[in-house]
Amino acid sequence: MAKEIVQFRNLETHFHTPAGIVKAVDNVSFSIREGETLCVVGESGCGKSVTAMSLMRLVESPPARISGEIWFDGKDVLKLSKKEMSNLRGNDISIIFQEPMSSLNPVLTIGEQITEPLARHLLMDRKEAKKRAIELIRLVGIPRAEAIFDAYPHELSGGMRQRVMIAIALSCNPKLLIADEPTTALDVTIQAQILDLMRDLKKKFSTAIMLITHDLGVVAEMADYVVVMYAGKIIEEAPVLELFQNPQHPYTKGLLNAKPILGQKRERLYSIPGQVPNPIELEDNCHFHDRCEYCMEICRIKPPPFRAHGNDKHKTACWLYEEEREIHERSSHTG
Amino acid sequence: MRQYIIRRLLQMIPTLIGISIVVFAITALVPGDYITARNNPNMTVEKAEELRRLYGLDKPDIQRYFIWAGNMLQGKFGDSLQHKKPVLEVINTYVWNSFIIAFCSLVLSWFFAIIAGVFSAKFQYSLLDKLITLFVFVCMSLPSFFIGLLVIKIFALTLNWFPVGGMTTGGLNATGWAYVKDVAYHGFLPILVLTMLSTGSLTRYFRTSMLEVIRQDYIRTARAKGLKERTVIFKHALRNAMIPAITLLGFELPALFGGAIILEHIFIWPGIGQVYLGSISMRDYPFMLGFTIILAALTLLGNMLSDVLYGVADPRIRLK
Repeated sequence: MAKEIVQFRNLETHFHTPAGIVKAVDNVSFSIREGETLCVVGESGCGKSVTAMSLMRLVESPPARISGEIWFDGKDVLKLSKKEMSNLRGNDISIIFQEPMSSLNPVLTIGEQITEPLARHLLMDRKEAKKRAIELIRLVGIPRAEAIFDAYPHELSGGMRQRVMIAIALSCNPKLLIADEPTTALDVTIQAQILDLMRDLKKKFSTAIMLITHDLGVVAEMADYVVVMYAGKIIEEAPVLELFQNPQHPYTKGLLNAKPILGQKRERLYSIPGQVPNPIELEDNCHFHDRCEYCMEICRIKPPPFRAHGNDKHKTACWLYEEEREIHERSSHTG
Repeated sequence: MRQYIIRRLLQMIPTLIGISIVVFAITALVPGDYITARNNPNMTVEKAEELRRLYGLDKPDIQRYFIWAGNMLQGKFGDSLQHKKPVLEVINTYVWNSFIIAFCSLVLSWFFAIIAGVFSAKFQYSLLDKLITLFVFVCMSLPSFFIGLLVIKIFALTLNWFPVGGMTTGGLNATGWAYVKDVAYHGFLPILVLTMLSTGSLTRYFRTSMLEVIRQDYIRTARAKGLKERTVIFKHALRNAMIPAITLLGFELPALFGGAIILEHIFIWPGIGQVYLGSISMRDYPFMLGFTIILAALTLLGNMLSDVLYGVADPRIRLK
């Protein structure tokens, strides 16, 4: 098995607000292996982005309080000094954001913005950095690279700006690329192009990717491994094929059911009943219990453990399987 | 760009005509004239009539307007009644004294306002932010004559560090470097007071502008690139926060030449503000009207300048 490059261990990112504590990320543990694409899936507000931002240490704290450990390259990222952290950012770990329209500085040229990390991390001089920047602009498939180098962000379309963001992210050959819903703000054809581009680049540089998305289509296309989050917790993780073929958690099943399938005629798309719980002061139970059709008594009072049931790589946090296991164990004891 | 500037300059013409009518109408509406304002006890009615005819004050207002406007078009500002010298010469004598203080305090107040604004935005709600805000509001809310007298009491009388007033030491007749030093020595207190007064609102302006900008996505991008916090704040954030402030810079242009009436009075600074005020109470029409028109033209130019600068600072609205 490939080496793990990032390990989240019991990560907790809590926001202390006047209304109460918001556990945006609550006891999350998973790891990303070298050259692997890991997708984090979940509804808006489930803590996907905050998990990534905690790794980049870009969450404002206070109000946020981050605890736990995030191991990257043999170091606990959360314990690094500010200076060490900024040496890591954009160099070993880089990130692409959701909004290409507002993620680039409107008053600086594209060239200036691409060369910045080159000068900062790779200590290139102006000339070298310009050469490399033009190479990068070509690499992400933008024609007229020289002209684009001197252009301002407002002269570019959304798709081009996202390509520029990718060029910036890849400029220092990062070991891990975080893509926080990189295609959400783009239209469908551009989405496909950007995803193709990311896949090509991944093959070329064997960068590990942490892809945050709520689009299961994107997951199916890109992921090696999937982590499903709900209300700040991981509720299921599995290799992509296993997850699509054999989803275990009722929430994952609901998500897969809600996905439109091409060629299939349905009056209405399936939707999971109910709403995401209010994230303020969540109780200690399974947060999905009030929307779950299999809800049992224990779901309301105790959080389910997160562990493998059968398949070693497939972990789920659901009482449904716990009970099954107990019954199974009991019957095997008596028998 | 050149075409745009030419168009804007042409648009200034009707505006200036309008301003000249309004300004002239107001001066004509004010009762009294230069002869009555002098209050000369030896003045007889016949002599007054004679003088009015001499100054052209006996003609109807509308005719007087056209005579004055016609002269202005030819660049003839006329002679100041009070100073017995051409208006432009009087302005030239005093305006640079005002300009020195106004310019120094402009540079200083922008410098301090940017620094104070940036840091109080960066550390919003911290002790530093609260202290800056408090100090800035104290400076802003005290009237200029009060701060003026206060600093004279403290720095000139009690501590004896700076002179009470004036622009040069009497009888020194210094030239060159010594003159500059003497003027700086005298100018310190008025510049200090003027800077204190204008830094306040600018600081609040920069603070608000910075607060808005540092929440933007591109600031997060800049941090994610691993840039130093200094680069993030001063290169990525400040440049964007400066854009709305550029408009203010254009409005400062007339203020540079307008003089500070109250402060010049307190510090006995021989600036244009005092002279302007004097011309109004003496009904010195040529000076009053001429200087007002110059200020109006500077205001319009300042407006144009800020529009042009806006394009320089913000590539999104740069004119093709």
